[in-house]
Amino acid sequence: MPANYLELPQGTLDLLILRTLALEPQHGWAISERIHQISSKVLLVQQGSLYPALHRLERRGWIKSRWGASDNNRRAKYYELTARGRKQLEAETSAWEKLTTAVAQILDTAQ
Amino acid sequence: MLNDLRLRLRSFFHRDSVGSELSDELRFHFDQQVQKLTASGVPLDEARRRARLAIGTRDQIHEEFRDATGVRFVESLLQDIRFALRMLRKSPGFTAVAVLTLALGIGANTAIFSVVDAILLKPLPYPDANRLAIVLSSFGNEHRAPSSGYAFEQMRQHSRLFKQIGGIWVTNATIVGTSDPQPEGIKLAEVTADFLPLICNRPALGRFFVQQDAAQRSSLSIVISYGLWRRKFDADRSIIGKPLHIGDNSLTILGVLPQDFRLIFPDDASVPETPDVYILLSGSKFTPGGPAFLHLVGRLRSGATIAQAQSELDVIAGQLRATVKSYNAQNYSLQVIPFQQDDVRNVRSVLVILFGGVGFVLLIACANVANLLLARAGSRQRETTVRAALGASRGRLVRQLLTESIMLAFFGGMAAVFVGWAALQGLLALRPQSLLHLGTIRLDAVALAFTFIVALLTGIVFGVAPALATTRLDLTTGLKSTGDGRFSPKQGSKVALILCEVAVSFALLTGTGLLVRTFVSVLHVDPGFQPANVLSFTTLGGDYPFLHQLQQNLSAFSGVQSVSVVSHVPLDNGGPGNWYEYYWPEGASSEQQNTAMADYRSILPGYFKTIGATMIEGRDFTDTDDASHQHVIIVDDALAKSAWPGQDALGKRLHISDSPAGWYKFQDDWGVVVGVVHHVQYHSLTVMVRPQVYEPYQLAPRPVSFVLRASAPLPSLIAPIRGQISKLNKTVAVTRFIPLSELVAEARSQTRFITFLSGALAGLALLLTCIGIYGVTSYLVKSRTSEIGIRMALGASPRDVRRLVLRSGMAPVVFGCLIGIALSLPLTPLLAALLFGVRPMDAPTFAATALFLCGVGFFSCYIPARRAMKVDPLVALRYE
Repeated sequence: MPANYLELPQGTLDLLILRTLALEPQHGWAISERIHQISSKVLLVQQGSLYPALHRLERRGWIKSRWGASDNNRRAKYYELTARGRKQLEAETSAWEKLTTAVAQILDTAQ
Repeated sequence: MLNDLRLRLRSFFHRDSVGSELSDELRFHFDQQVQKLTASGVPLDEARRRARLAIGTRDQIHEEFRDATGVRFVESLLQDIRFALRMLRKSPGFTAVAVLTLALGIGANTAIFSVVDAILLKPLPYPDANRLAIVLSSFGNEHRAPSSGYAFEQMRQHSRLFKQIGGIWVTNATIVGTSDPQPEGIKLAEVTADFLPLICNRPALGRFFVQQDAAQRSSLSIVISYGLWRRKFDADRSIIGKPLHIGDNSLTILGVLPQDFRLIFPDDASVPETPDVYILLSGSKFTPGGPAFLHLVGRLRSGATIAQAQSELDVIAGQLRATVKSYNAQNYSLQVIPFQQDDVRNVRSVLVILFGGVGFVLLIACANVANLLLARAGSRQRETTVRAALGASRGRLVRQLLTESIMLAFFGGMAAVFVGWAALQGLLALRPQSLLHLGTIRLDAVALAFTFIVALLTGIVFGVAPALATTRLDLTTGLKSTGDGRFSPKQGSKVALILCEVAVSFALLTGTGLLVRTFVSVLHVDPGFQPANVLSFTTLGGDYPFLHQLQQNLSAFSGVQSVSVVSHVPLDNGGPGNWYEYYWPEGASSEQQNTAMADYRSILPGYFKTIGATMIEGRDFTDTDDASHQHVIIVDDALAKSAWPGQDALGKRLHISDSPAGWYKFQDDWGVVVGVVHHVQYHSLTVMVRPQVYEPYQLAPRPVSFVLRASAPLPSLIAPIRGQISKLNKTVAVTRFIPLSELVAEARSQTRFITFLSGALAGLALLLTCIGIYGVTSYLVKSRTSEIGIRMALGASPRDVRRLVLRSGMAPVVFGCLIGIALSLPLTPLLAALLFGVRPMDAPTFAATALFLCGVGFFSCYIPARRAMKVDPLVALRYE
């Protein structure tokens, strides 16, 4: 694993996937590409983590999948957010923001 | 969550298509990555290599996916099961012994569970049975007495918590035949209007009584049982409205009861299971101070508890004490008990003890199979070690071994169903009358479910220790094959198991020993009469001249030594309800009055001679002892001692209750004692319930039975007796020809049954323990062969070797007996209710059990010990 890529903790990956899917349904590769690009190439999601995460989210009913045609007309499995998933995204986003704000405060004062 | 479940099921059952879908997805991902890299100028091969690196192992993703959906767990379980079956098939001897042992242990539990379920767990076959309760009256020292009609009426009117209350009283009656020349004796149940609707949902035909029938004096209509309907009327569906002649009356049939209907009352209520005819009680019996004869059942309103009902009845009892003088003197009170709980109160402790007993037997069976598994573990050591070396975790290995154990237990469970069924048939064939009427006992779905749950738990119990023992190893010693002579943990656990088996067997054997001694005591109990060669039979409908004449005529038969008549035949459970009343000697203070009760019996002269009771002093009744002469009575020695301690009872006066005016027309009276007779056991062989007062028949006419002592064989007399009766009076029915010896045998039957069961269980436990001891000793000999060889080479004689093996084999037996004593001491007092003539901590029984068990253990060790003697030291030392 290249040294300048960060390892993502599991819960955060779920949040990122849900966020990525909030805009439009995408297939697995597109999700990992989008995360990689938007994070300015800092975050690299390994397939070994991505697909298990996608299946886990699907089991929990937050995303659902269907087979469709990709832009280059190949058969690909698309994932999209469900209503429950949308609610979960809101909940997790606000939790994340609270957490990071609190951590930042402590890091500031600990100087 | 449904989504989760749906996906898991899909990935399990459509493994292949789901797997290929995942492969497609991953391949798409790979291709997209390659495309992206080639688009930015990377050559194709390099792009492919980088993409492959980035993706990681495809199989690993598949594995994780299947792990996540739980498919892996199920797949490995199936794999374990297949492997376990193969292993079991490879060693058929081991499998057969283990399955048989388990079948015996689990099967015994299944059989006893069926009994416990039918009697204790299943509700009675009545609508809403949990809300049924029995109401008992308490007069003086009698706490389980029936209630009077007046008390019943008060309860019915004033109770708010009882939705319905009904009462029943059963007597004998005669059906005068239309087509049958012989009149038929039947059981007639007099009931209150609410009784039948209370315990039966709907009649098979017609209707039940309603409250208006009681008001309208329609006591000329009856409801008949299904059995009577088929017997007498051939199940004629137009029977409603037709008449039935009972005694002097012609009664109209109102309804027919369903086929499976029966009365399940506590055994001391004298209510038979299926009375043939039900008639409405006429209200004339309901005056204050009337006799207490009704057995009451009530249904509580929903939400009402027993405690609340009891408080309500306490209030009603208080009102009765206030309004009826005699109730106050007798400290009258009422008690309400849930119906089913009261029904089983005698049987419950026996069943619970039995259930504990079979549980013990199952533990022994488990210990034996665990020993077998431990013995086998030695040969599986190599395989297990290889698996561990290849990366299997200990948990995984234990799971695989446990699967084997559970499979074994599962087969044992299947065989146990047959064993249980057979055991149940045997049990049902042998069970005594007293346990006969409580529930239909059979092997049903609940028993099957119980069997399999027990099998599963058993598999885990006996499988866990060997599984842990087998997998507790370090890899190098396991792969090497030499064993050392030390006492390995496996051997230690085997010996410990034998110790436990011996201890448990000791407990069971001690219990059996105590029960056997009880049975022997019961066999030797003096019932107060000589039952051999005495026949009893019941006549329905005759008056005194008839009885007197029949007595004369029968005495004249050749082979007949003596004939008489009694109202209640000793030890007869199917006889009429007991007649018991207060008595007190002349001059008793008012506290002494109305406290002691005696059983009253109405007899003709010659009764004591006929049944072989011992007259201690005084004389028997004569034909002149009737209502017009001095009222005389005979009492038993128990009453004489309690009423006139230290004095002669002859000539003393006793306050009694009699009815010279006719059947059941009771009055207070004084009787002069003219004879004292040795106590006769009427209710049971082991318990003296009450002393007895005998009155001449003319003072207390009531339904009676004949007793007849003959030197001729009793069955040969039945036809002549019938002939004689019908010659004298065609309307009199005769039923229930029973020799007294049969009644005595029946009284012993419950003890005999329990002793037999206990013996069977202890025998099974002993057999399993012997097999266990034999197995473990053989195993010890085999594993110490090299040590024995060394000893013999160093000069030990074969005798020394034998002594060595015997000592090491007997050590767990002896220690097991000691632990068994410690185990039995707190447990045998639980049997106290079943014992008679022997105390629970009976030292001789304990000692005898210890000796017996050590002897049996010695015998089981002896054969392996002899085999050890034959070890050739040269062969042993070469043995690796």
